[in-house]
Amino acid sequence: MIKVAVVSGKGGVGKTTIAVSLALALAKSGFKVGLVDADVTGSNVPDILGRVELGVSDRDTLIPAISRGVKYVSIGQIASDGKPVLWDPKDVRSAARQLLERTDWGDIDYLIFDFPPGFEAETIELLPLMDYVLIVTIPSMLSKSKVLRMVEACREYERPIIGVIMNMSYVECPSCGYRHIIFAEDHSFEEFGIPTIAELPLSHEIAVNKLVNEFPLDKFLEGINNPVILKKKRISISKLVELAFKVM
Amino acid sequence: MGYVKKIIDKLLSIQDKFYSEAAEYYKIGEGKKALLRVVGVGGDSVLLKVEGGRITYARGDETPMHIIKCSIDTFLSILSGEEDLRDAMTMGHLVIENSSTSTIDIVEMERWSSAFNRLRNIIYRIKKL
Repeated sequence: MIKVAVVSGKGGVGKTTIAVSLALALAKSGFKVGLVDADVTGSNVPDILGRVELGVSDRDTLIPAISRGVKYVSIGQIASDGKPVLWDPKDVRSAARQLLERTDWGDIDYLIFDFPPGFEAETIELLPLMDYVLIVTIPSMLSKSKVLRMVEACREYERPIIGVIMNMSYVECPSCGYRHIIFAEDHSFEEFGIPTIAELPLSHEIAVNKLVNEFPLDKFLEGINNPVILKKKRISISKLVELAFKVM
Repeated sequence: MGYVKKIIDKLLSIQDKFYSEAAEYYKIGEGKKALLRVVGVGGDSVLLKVEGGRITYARGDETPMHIIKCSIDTFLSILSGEEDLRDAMTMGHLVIENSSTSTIDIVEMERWSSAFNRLRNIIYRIKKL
């Protein structure tokens, strides 16, 4: 089972849409796929895939709901619709982990995680357990500065990064097809060697159904085979010895 | 005697009164056993055993796997139907904890929500009779 985190620096960049589309696109290609709504206090996955109640097995595990071949779990299926989840942060962390560890996933190839934006309790709990990270952002400096913190978190945990999906990159004119750039700022992550695997438009039509058919799965799978791993900075033994001599 | 025990005593007497009408509900829990500690405000608590769907007092030396924590207000408003169990759990008014981890147990939450829905359906049926 390959665990893939779909993360962002800030909210409202289309992370859930991308996570759900990725899961559905993988399932459509013949992979066995699970989806964890790791945003415990702000779950959105059931809004797209359906608010189906979860079952409980005799082995004390959750039985995930299934939509179009994707098994999925969310606190949104356990909690009341329209009520805020007002849990202690330690419970939020624990619930996020239980969604992973206490769900009867069966035999699956990919488990996709829709993370909350930034560094909520769920992110701190689950990010170190991920096999790969897919970053979703929009091409603005405000978003980039927050994503840079996420990149540093991936360095800290040495998590392999698949690439960046740049959402809301442009608006396409419906009559002439001209692409209007919305943000004119430098937004690439080339300085870290992190590739941009897709630039998606801001569109009324950019919904899950459209994105499933157009998802850049080939680039995603290429990123899985060749991820970017930023190494944590460590002081070398020779430097330590050198320092020790200086102190002495 | 603490207030939690007084309330539980009353509930157990209601349970006995309706046992024959709600036999179908008890059947669902056949072969299952759970220990629960119900904790009230100020730490007043009782240990209950749910066996075969029927609730009785447990011995003091038995260790509960799950602890239900809520205020007496929440407890009563859930029983009277003023507050939904799922709403109470979502809003943190009622917490079902795993006693070994001391954190929320989402599997048990889902199980209790479903069981409560079934129980509510039975109560509605009994009311109609």
